[in-house]
Amino acid sequence: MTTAPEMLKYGLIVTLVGMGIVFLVLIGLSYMLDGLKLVSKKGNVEKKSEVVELENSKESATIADVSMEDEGELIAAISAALASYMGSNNKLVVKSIRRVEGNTPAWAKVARQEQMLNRL
Amino acid sequence: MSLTKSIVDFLLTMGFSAMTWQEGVMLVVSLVLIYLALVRGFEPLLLLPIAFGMLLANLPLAGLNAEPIYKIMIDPATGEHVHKMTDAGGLLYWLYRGVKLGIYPPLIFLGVGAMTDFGPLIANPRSILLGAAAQFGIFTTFLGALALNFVPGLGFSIPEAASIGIIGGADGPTAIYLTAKLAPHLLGPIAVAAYSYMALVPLIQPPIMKALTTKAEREIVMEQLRPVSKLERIIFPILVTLVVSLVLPAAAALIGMLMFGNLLREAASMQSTLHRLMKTSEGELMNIVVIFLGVTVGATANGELFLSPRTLAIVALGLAAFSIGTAAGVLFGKLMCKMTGGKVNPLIGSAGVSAVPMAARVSQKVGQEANPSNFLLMHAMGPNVAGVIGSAVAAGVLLSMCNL
Repeated sequence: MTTAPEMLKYGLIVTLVGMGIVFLVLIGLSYMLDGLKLVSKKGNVEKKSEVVELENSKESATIADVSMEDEGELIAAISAALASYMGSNNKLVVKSIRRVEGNTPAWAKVARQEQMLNRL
Repeated sequence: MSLTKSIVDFLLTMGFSAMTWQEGVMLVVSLVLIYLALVRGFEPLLLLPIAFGMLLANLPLAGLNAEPIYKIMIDPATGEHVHKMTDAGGLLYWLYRGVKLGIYPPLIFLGVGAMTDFGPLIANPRSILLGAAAQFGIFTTFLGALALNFVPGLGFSIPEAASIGIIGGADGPTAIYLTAKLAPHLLGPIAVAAYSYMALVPLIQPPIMKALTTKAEREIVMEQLRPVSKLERIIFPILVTLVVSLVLPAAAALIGMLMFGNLLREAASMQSTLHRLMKTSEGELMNIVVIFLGVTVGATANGELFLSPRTLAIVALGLAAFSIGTAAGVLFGKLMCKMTGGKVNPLIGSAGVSAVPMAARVSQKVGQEANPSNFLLMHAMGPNVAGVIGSAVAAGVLLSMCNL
């Protein structure tokens, strides 16, 4: 196989076989993934909707008032985070938000920051 | 010994006196590539090591690429013939073994797998077909390279043509893996062409995409993807490894490592100890291998081989490979659009050429130009990651059929 026409002929065979195999493998995978969907639907159990009631405490309002200027935005952000974490549920009512002073040592905070930055 | 003679002797040991014109030109080429990587931001992560490797390899008398020299001698104790190393060879010679023996590209795929989310593909299995259609560019370029044999003085053998075609896979590690096995002497030009065109995807693709689609097609908004369960994500890499490697054992190294990386990623959320392995494969291990791979691939760009009309032909064929791949993907997208009654936006087809995630971003951008409220990114990620699997499969086919 040294002349140009012979090589081109072999090239055509490789092209046909190659595209054939690429399509065959990927079409096969595509249908197997369909099958995968059925498997996982069976295994999925519907999530129970849970209502979490948040405690109402008196201190909270005052602390929030003092420390937070942009209250509205903060409340919206916290409520949204809670709603997405517990599965969006219109029964969720945020009655109060209280800042909890952390007792994490400074080293642990640094390590946590590092982990979060690494992930990004 | 006179003073002048020793000065002349010293001057002769300097690189300047031994430099050939090819080496001089290659040093300039490497400086241009460094400029492109640093100032223009052309895939700097890979182009910079490649360019610097090129610079190192073309330094006269430094011998970084030198092979070790062995002497056959008789062992005095046993009387047998043994090889004794008289010269250890250059640094880059030894680092290059990882490319030559096909070790680095699968290791990079391990990291790519650990970074890739195959969720959009699992959610929309049909999009995997777009990743197959875009591989058309590989094979048409392969034929194009063989057709150049009709031009006197510019011939490519079948293994060489296959290595040029794989540029159309728009997948660096795959291209390097295949070329190192089939036509290692072309590694320099092919790697440079592949990575330069990957950086140019945002310029090459949009005109082709716009020419082949109507405005109405570009405006199509696709349905939101369904959420994918943990179980599916775990089974997927195992399934792909089994299917692809059983059909095409030659692709097992690439696909196997890609999927192992992905399995580590998905399993890390079940067993938190696995997180360490995932982080290493997508982080430090990958960075180390990228450095070795880039520098040594660049170092294969030897002046005498690189500065030939064949390099220009490779660069031109590479561009053709990218363009045809993009066109084939978009046309197949149009076909799917017709068959599904207008549910598929043909723009996601161009993402099938891999070049993750750049090609998917291009689909998103062109789609948003037609319809500002359209978000195609996640839909385009499906064909995009399917393109990686597709080009690895195509490489497997070429490896088993063109290794003459």
